[in-house]
Amino acid sequence: MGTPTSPRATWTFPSEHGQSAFPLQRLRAAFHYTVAGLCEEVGQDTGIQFSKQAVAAITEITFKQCGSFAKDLEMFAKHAKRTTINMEDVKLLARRSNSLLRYITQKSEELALNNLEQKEKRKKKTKKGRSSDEPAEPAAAESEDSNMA
Amino acid sequence: MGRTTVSRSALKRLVKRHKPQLRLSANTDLLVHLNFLLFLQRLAEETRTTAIAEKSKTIKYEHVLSSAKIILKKSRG
Repeated sequence: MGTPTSPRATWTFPSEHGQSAFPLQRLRAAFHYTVAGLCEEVGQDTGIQFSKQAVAAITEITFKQCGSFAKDLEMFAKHAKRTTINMEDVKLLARRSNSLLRYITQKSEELALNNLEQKEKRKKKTKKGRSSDEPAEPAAAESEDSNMA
Repeated sequence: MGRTTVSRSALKRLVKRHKPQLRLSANTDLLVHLNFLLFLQRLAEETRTTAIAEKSKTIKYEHVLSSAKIILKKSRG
């Protein structure tokens, strides 16, 4: 009978740090901060300054766009009967613009390469660890042999 | 009254020509046709507004061309 309250409205951040009690507002503020930083960078590159209203408008657009991105990604993962969003979903999200798709694909390849390198490093580390254990193995084999005999 | 029948075989042939290895499951072609009708509606609407904006009483080639660019971009999946 009351006004329909969304779960987000009732869910509040613990405000013991003296920050805003509304998580959405905090998120918005974080967005605003990042957007302002990026705008500053672009302004330095091109020599054009952004007004405060323009930065706020870009923040708002980014916010809305993120909402639609999240929905789309969810749908893509669901379509593939997954509950985890992966790189393929993100690529699918960027398919409408060819240049964006190329850029994202390139970035994802870089990420995959980095991951591979890190995995190999980890493997080497574990191999080293195992090599120290290896001398123990022949002894175990010997003990088995002695058992057999 | 306009024509209300769907040329299903023509539609299937069209899809086949673009993607020969692609198979359409049952009645999917009807949904494709629906999508096409909605696209045509959007295109007509957009073309009409461009024609009105240019104070033209008839829809001309340029109007269709400019709105087709917009609507085709909007209809990308």
